[in-house]
Amino acid sequence: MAEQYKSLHPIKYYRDYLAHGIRPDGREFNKFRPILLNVGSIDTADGSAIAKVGNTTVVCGIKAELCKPKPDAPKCGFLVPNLELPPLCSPKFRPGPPSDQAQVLTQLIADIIENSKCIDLNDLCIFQDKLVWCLFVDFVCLDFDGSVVDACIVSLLGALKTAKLPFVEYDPALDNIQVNMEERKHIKVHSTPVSTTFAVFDDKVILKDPTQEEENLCSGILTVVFKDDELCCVHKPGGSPLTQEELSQCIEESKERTLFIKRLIDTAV
Amino acid sequence: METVTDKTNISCKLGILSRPDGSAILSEGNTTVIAGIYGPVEVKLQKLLIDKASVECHYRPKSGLPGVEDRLYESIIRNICETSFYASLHPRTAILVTIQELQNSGQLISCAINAACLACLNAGIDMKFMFSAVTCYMNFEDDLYLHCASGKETKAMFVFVFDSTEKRIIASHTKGSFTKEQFEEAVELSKEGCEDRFTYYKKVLES
Amino acid sequence: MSVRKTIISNCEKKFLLKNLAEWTRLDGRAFDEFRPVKINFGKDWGSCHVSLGKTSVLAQVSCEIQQPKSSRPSEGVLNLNIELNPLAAPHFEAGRQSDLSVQLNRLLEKCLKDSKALDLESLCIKMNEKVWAIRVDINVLNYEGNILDCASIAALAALAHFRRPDVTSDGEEFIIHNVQQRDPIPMVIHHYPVCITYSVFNGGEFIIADPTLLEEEVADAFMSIGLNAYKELCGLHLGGKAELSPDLILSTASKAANRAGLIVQQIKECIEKDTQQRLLRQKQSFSILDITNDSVSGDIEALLDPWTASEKKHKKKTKKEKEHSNMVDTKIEIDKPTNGVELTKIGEGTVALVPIEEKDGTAIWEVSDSDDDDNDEVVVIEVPKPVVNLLDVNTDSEEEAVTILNADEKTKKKKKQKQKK
Repeated sequence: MAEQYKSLHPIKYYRDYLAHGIRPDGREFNKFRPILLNVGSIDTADGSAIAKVGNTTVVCGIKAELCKPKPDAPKCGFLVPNLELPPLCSPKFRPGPPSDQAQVLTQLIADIIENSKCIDLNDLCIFQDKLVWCLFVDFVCLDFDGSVVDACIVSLLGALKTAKLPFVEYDPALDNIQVNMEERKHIKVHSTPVSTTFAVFDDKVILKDPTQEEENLCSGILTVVFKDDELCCVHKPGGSPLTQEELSQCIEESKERTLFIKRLIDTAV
Repeated sequence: METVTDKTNISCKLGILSRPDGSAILSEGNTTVIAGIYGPVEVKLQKLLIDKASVECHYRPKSGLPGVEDRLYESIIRNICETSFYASLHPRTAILVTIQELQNSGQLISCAINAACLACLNAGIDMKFMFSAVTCYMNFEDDLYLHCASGKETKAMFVFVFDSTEKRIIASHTKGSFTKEQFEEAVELSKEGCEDRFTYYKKVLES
Repeated sequence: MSVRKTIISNCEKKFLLKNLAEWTRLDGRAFDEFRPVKINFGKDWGSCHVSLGKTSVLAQVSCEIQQPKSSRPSEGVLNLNIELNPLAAPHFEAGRQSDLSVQLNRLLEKCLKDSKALDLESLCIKMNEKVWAIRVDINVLNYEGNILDCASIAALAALAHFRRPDVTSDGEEFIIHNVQQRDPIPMVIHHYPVCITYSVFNGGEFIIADPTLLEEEVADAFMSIGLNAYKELCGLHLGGKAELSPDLILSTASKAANRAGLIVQQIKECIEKDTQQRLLRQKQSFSILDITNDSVSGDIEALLDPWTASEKKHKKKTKKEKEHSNMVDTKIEIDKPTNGVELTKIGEGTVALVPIEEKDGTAIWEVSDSDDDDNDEVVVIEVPKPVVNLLDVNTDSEEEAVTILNADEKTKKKKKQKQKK
């Protein structure tokens, strides 16, 4: 009976649960789902990690390539994130070119990386104006069950902290590149950004770490990213309005979670 | 003769295009955008919603093709419009919001959002509230200000969108890193800025 | 976008054709009269807004360095890209090429690129390695017929206005100088070609210049003639279904040649004016970039003021007179008295009385003269009708808000209770 009720009146179903201060998956409003991180999962990539937030699963792989820097920024390397949402991860995605949502999330991840300055692009320089590293950071979502950005950022940090770049020698006189695959070294990761997603249900209840179902039914989403003690992104792309107090409360709550996740990443690495 | 709302200059004109149902050209400082609204119009079958109007947003940069970053802005503007419209009044229709950049000298997103709101008002779309966006900058001395001194480096940038009834935050978009206190201060400052914008909207509509 | 194109009804068609048979057009223009052209430049180099009657487009020129084509190693590249923005008409789709946009693009290319108006060799930095690629993006903002003419004027004016950064070489390295270091370099333009479009009705019986949207839809065919100021033909395209005698084409082309001369003259004058403005401002503040605030409000001014849309009632004039009227703005201000009324003469025998509510203070704002640097200019705001009943909306959402607040307290209480437990 509950099944039919849920599919006929999904919002009402949720309201009934939330009125009792509990979510259908048994969590309280401010509880997050278990997080799992596995690093170095893919041999062929220069750095990789799999992160699981509840059911949401994201694989992150880093591939490094050598390229020439832009003339206006001769010392800067490149970091190109890309999130793929294949039909595999949720029935709402179709095969073909990246959907709008994938593009929006990719941009959000790129913004977070830039704002948190976790990678200094100058570190990726091998020889000024001639040779720099270009890191392709690819995310593939295997299971799309809400709070994808959280999972992406956890897997990103896992992958970045384990990524090793081969040693490259460049001779500017001969334009000769020698790559030593054996001798590898880590990329310097300057900070650990941690993202927390909230969903606003019915303009009043704020749910932490929402599932896909909750994200679909709710009226607004908020993503807060902490970098150590500083905020580096408070992203709320429209949706139901929040008061300043509610917003501050969300920020406070995400700060607590930041510590746990940071410890998780450090332990995994 | 009072024209200057916060320290930036806003000027605008409604109904400047003949084809769209509502249009507005808005410039804040040197940044200028045109927004146009069609709606409610016929909807594509894929995007048909049986209980409300679907909102589509298109943003065009003035040169080159729209990139991934523009997609993010599109989604922000679409979400804001979706929240503010009484979309359930027009089921099985679409409301198209199009924004064209004319000149970019900073605070482009907030300018685009404000132009969208004025265009909606011009088009006579039923709205729950008006919205206005304010861009707030923070320099390396941690001072906050609402207008960008061109050429100066900024440590962080905030864009907040408020509703007109209770001045709650509909959307927030940030760049750079900052502390929680600075964030709250920026919200306060922007809230003052948005009041000026709503007064300006009313003046525009009354005239 | 899904919206279907508006279909022209048979009555509209018949009405238009019947009017043509009586030698009148729906907007009161003579058959070879064009709508007024306004050209405005933005703050950036190569940014230009052109309106032709109610049709308006925005053109922006940009440049980048790339490798030349192997077939032409010493030539730069010119790319034209016309974008039918969904702003311009609801059936235009964003970011997708339609038959119309491909056709317009090709016609524009024929006129500007294939006529070798731009000196591409001057864009070469190093043979076989580095050349400038110039890209012209044309965004159609409002579609009220004859995009092609409007776009060709905009593209040409933007190219003529554009300046690329200077590049120097010290043997191996190339240095791109920014605007502060060295003055940017204007394009080398050999000649100024523009497109001039005519609509053909009844197999050549009626040929009308600068068709509006309705006229375009009803016409049997359209003829687009690319011409430069020296009356040289730079492109000719006859689309649609009409057999025209060569004589007719030639006579139309010679009429168009005069028009081309006038347009090119207008473009040059506007660029001259823009340069003057920049120079003057430069003397005041000694920097180029900070000054050009003016152009923004210029853009706004360019956008429809209600009187350009008003019908001009011209009597039929001889050709020479008409040509003349293209050049001179038909609005002649008789006087601008201080008692809040403006008399505007609209063509022959028609005068409009426009009340100006200057003393009201809300209707018109003017530039505050006190500070010259700031762009305090505000434009008269035209609201055709009050759209939203603000009061209603307000009360509505307040009610909502009350419930929300209560709810909030409830949840808070719940949380507290939980904490107590």
